[in-house]
Amino acid sequence: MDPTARILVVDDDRPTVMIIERLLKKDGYDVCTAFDGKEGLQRAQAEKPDLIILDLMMPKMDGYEVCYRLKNDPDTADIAVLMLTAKGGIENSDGQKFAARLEDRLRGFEVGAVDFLIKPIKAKDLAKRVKALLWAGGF
Amino acid sequence: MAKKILLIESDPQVTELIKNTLEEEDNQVITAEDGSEGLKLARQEQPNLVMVDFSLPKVKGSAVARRLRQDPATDHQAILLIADEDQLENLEIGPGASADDFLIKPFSAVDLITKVSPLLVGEDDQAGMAISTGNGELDTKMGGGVPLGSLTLIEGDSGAGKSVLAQQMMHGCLENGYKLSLFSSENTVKSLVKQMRSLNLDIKDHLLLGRIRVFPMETSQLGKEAPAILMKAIKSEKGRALVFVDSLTSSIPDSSETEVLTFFEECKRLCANNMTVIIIVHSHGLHRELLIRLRSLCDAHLQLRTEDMGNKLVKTLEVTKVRGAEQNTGNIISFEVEPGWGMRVIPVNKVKG
Repeated sequence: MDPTARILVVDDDRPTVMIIERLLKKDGYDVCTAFDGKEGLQRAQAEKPDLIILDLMMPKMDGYEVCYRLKNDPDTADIAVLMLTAKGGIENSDGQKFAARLEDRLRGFEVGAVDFLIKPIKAKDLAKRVKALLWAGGF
Repeated sequence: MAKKILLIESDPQVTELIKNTLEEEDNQVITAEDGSEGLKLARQEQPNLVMVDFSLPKVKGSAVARRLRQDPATDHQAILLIADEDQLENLEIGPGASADDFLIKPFSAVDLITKVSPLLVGEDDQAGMAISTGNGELDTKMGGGVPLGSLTLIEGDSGAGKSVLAQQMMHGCLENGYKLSLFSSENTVKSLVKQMRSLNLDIKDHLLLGRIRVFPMETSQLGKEAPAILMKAIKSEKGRALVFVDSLTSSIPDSSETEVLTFFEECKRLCANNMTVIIIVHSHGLHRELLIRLRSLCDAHLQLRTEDMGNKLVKTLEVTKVRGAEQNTGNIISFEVEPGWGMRVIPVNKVKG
């Protein structure tokens, strides 16, 4: 097996993609990027990464749909997906904020994501999660 | 217009390099050597952008960024965090993080300018620009849309489509990347999402991302104090591009004319500071004379009516006034509200026929 794991980062927020890319490259991973759901899906099919870091809220095609399609394509069904979700924005009610997050996660797991991180992400957390997920996948 | 950039950097070599590069691009650069001096300058000088190094002595760069965000006097300033490659894992990433973007050392002059320029676009570059309502026809009649930094009055009877129009506008603004707050006496967060969905306007993502903040108002108990309290709440939303009030008349049933006028004058002042305020009123909720004075205070005035056209009731929207509009105002649009579709403009001949 190729010793270098390949990771695809899909997010419409360019600063986020840039930092994650730098961070993962520094850790020795092979990184490719996409800036919306459609492009992400294409890159996933073309590059066959070992892990996809996938943002939930994106124009054109959101993270749920990308994940659902990946899992329904035998070529990409085995790729682990780590989802990024934004912190609940309903600030005038804590109850709703929590509910929104929980709902996001449940739906994410339903479509096949294996893990979640809530934005803003601590870069350290991301590095650790990535390592753990890849280790679980045999790296 | 020259932009003001505050650079908080302890390394004099880096400071000089950044300062020279940015000044060549016609920016004004002020510098601070440590966090506390930087925070002071950010408050005093009101720069458009603050660049702060992650590894400052004493107060760390990330703490400076967080404080800038938490202070209402500086929370609108863009933040670019400068970090070393080996500090990457200590950063916070993504919307909601303190920094708007990151510049990783080592960087070239080109890297620097590519990172800085998008963060400098905004505010006075928007002067004279308009916010699309998401409805092309309506935009045209309003001379391009809702003018930025303006006070707009939407007026009409019950059922004339005021809230629908406001929701259409809100959606248009959100889709164009503007952040807004809604003070609503008509809706809770849940009912708003539901109502807008029935118009085929999805705001759930925007809600989750914090781009729209919804404040349901229960002003019946506030009595006379309502306008003042509402104004205080609006002022606390200073970082937002737009504020919608739907509707003002049902929020201030017990207020005097002077209090309402004061409210509008204060809104006007907020607009002078680049905020765009859109206020919805019921035509019958206010005295005629007061309404006439309010209309003249506002930069844009939209009048909604339900009219009897033959055997059919039709909603009409008249753009009676738009400041700086290129097109002629005084135009009337007829529209229908169709479930699952939204606002649909009806061609005039169809209405007449």
